[in-house]
Amino acid sequence: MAKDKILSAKLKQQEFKTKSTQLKTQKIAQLLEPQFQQSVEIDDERPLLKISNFKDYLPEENVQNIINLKLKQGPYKLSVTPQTTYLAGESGHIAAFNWRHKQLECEFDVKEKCYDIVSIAQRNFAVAQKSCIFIYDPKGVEVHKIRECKQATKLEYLPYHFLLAALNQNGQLTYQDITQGKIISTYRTTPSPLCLKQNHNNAILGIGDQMGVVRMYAPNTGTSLTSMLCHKGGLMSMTFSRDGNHLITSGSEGTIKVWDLRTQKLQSQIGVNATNLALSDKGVLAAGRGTDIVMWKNCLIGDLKTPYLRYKASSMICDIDFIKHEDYLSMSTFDSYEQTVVPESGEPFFDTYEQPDLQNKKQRLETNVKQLIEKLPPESISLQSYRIGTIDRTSKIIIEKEQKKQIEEQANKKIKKQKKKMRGRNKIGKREKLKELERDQKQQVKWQEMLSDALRVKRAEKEKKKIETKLLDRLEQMSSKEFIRVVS
Amino acid sequence: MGKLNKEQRLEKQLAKKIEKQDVYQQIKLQETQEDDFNVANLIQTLEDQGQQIDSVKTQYLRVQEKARIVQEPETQAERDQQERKVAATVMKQDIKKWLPIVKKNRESERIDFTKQRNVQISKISDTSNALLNNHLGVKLQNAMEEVEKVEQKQELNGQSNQQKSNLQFYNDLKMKKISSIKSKIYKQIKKKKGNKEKLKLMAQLTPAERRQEIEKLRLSRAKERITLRHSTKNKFVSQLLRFGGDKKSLKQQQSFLNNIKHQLLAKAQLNELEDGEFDEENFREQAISQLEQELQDIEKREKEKQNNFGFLDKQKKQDLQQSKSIAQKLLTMLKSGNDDAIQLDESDNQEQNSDDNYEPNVNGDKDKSNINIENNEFNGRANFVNETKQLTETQKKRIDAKTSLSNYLNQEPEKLQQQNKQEKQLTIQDEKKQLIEGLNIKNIKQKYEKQVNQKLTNQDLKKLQSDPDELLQQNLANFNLVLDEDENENAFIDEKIKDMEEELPPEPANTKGWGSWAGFGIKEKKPLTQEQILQNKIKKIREIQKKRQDAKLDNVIISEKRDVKFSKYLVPKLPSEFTNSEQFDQLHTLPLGPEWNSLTSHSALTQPQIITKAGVVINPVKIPQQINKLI
Repeated sequence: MAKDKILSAKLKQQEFKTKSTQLKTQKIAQLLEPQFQQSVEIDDERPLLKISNFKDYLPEENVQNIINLKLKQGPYKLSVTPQTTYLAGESGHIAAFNWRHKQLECEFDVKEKCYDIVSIAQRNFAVAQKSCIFIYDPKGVEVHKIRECKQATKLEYLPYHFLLAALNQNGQLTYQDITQGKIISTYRTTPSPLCLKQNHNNAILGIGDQMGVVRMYAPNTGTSLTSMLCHKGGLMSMTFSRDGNHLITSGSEGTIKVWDLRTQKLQSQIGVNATNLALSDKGVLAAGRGTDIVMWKNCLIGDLKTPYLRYKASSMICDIDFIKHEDYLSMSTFDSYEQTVVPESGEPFFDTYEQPDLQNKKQRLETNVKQLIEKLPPESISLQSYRIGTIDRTSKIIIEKEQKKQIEEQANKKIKKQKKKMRGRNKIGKREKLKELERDQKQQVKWQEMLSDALRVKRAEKEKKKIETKLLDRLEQMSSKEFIRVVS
Repeated sequence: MGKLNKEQRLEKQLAKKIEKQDVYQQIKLQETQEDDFNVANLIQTLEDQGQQIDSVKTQYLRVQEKARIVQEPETQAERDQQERKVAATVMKQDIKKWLPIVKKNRESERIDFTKQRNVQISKISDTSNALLNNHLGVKLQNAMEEVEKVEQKQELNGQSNQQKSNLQFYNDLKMKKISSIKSKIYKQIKKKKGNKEKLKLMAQLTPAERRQEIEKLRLSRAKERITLRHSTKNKFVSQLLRFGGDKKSLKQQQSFLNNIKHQLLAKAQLNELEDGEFDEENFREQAISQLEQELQDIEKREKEKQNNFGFLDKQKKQDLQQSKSIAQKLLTMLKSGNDDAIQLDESDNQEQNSDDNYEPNVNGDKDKSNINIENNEFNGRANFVNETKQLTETQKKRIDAKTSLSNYLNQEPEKLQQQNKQEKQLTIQDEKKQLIEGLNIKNIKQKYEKQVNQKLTNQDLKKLQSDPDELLQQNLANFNLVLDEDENENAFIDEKIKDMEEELPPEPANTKGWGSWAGFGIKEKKPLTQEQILQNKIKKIREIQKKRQDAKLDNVIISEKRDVKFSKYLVPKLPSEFTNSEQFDQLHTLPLGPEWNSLTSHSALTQPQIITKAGVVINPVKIPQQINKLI
């Protein structure tokens, strides 16, 4: 018990409040849960998804959103939001269109190799091109050019921190703040990375390796927080669950594994070769290999034996993703973009911090401002982010050392006040020197005057003599008659 | 002045010493008086009688002092002093030998190391008289004489060498001065002179030698161009790397080679006809033996396992049948003895050789390859391509070793397999359990090794010991099978150990002599061996491993470094009111915001303690009645 009576009373009150609020929230959750879920039962013998079978049962909106676009320029990468899809071809074809209203937003050709595309804040999108990363407007106008992270091949965007993470082919990872344009941290990770994904719960990045190792990174520390050997072959792709408690990986030796991140142990596995993985919010796992896609329904519980659905694309699959809050799976292939229905995949409830789709222009602007105000600092990313505001449990000696270091650093950083220097003008030695100079100058003037007087006298005497000698010479040359005339 | 001279000071010190001695003697005598019968008493009695015995007294005192020193136990410092004195005397005797040599060397203007050899020779010569009877002694003496002769020659040459060295020194000085000249005109003149001399030399040479020298110059120039920094993208170099020279030169070479080919073929035909050295019988026997070998090979290939792919097997069968039929026909033709058939054989054989490289090449083909290598010395990439082809052949051998091993393993007796089946069923279940728990690397690795080792240690392997190369290849193939999968795991374990080593405290540097006594007779401590250091390190690492979070997980590394930047979001100290950190955390368990709660509970949680509506009049503070009464 606490020492004070006031505090003990406060704690008791707190307990009562927590219990009452928990009961209320439980009741509300029960009310909000759909009592009767629509479920589609399919035979295990031939679980093939054919659109013609579904068309009669599906509503018209869903049938309209089953898309199959034929494109020409190279293998495509995609990133999907609840309203728009962004496509980037390897040869430089970039397009963005609203799949809900079937409306093209922008389309252009950069004539450069494109590696990855990702949608960022305010409907902008970033493209990792061969020269550097570009950020474009929703209308396709080039807004920024990020020269710092060169030859980036993989991109990921952390929405609540406003950070763009770019991974190099050599394993150099850079975090850049989009609001300020400042690079927060860069460091080397692994020499041979294959895939990059974020944990939506933690904002921690996972990097898959060619050695079959998954490493977790945060901007605070250059070293990996955890590293886990998952496969004997290279790690082809991976996804995190929405809770952040599960990790699903696929290796090149031909297995898919489900890991529990709380215990760091293997939960279940199946021998399927998959190059692309995607996990919906409700726990439907999609694995793509070649032209086929296989889906499991309750993979996080451990039902990996019986597949839920199967789908066949027109050509080789390059990228897969589920659309948030919708029952659609979108995929990009070598020469097409496809979108199909996957029942019971989307989570209908919104996260309160998330930007909902159905908004006015005015509302959207307000939410943009609100999100910027509530921006999370990048230093708060860590595995122990749930411990913010609690007591530090490390030993006191270490904490004291750190505090001392901080004080020393602050003292070193402070700009020392410069001494008021006279620049030597008012020193005694100089003062006397100046006096001597003045004295000398006065004397010099005197001497010059004296000299000039003396010189003048001398010159005058010389000139006199010259004139006299001239006159005498002339007199000598003159004849006697003339001489007499002049004198007279 | 008050200061004393040196002599005066010495006198004073001596006087003090004498006084001390007197006092000391008196005390000693007083002590001895107490005893009844002693030597001192005897002397005193003599003194009392008036006899002069000062000399006796002094001798007695000296003896007594010495006895006192012997009887007393020595301190450590005194003992060390004496030991050092002994050591010094020992060292002096050693040094005495070298003193004259050192003196000579110091006084002399120049040290001659040649004389030291003579010293060694003299030593051997002293002993050589005893060794002369042996063969070894004679040999040594002869060898030493030769050495002396050589030295004498060197001395003679030394004078001439000095002159040479002097000349060289002046020459170097001259060249330095010349190199420092920067004028361009001088260099141009120099170059022209050099070129003229070269041309003169070239004119004297024969045309064949001249051609060689020109090629040398061209090669050197080409090497220079390649080594230049930005020249690898040059047109000249790119062509050189692709074709082994210019495009024109390549065409010339090809035409030259074609000419040689025709000439050789023509010569071969002529020689066969003119000289008559061509033995038909030998050639026929060789051809028959080769064809028989080929037929055997075809039979072997037919017996081999078929692939799962049907269309590949069909093609293989057809090829083999065709080659078989041709070979059989040729055999019948050769045995019958028709000359026309032989000419056909060659043409047919060449075609077959192009497809399958079982037979050695014909003589003409061999010459081609030799010419290729001789003429295209600087072939660039063409040579590299040939090397890669050879590598693929070695790889084929390796694959053959693997397949042979797998075949051998399949040929095990059936009894063993039946026994293993029961064991295998158990092991598979165990493996599944382990897989569910996590990647137990060590157990799986041990199983792999056990399975492999059991099969290799069978007695049947002794039969294969006749050709050790095959055994080696098989072992290597087996080794690779295990290692290819374990590379990632081994790298991961190494990484984990490296992470734990970083947590170890830094070891103090073990410099010799620090932290220990020095001097004569002290035993040196033995430094730790590398094995002991390693074992100590392993112990420390294991202690650290137990404390870590990932002690029981082989496939996980959790870094235990403290995140300093994150620590500003934590409370560094527990406030004084609370006893536990859990109590403090309890206040932060419940979120207050409307996003996590219903509106009613949110309003209840964030309700202020005092509620006042807008517009309510707040009266001023009044003194309560209890206090008012007191006043």
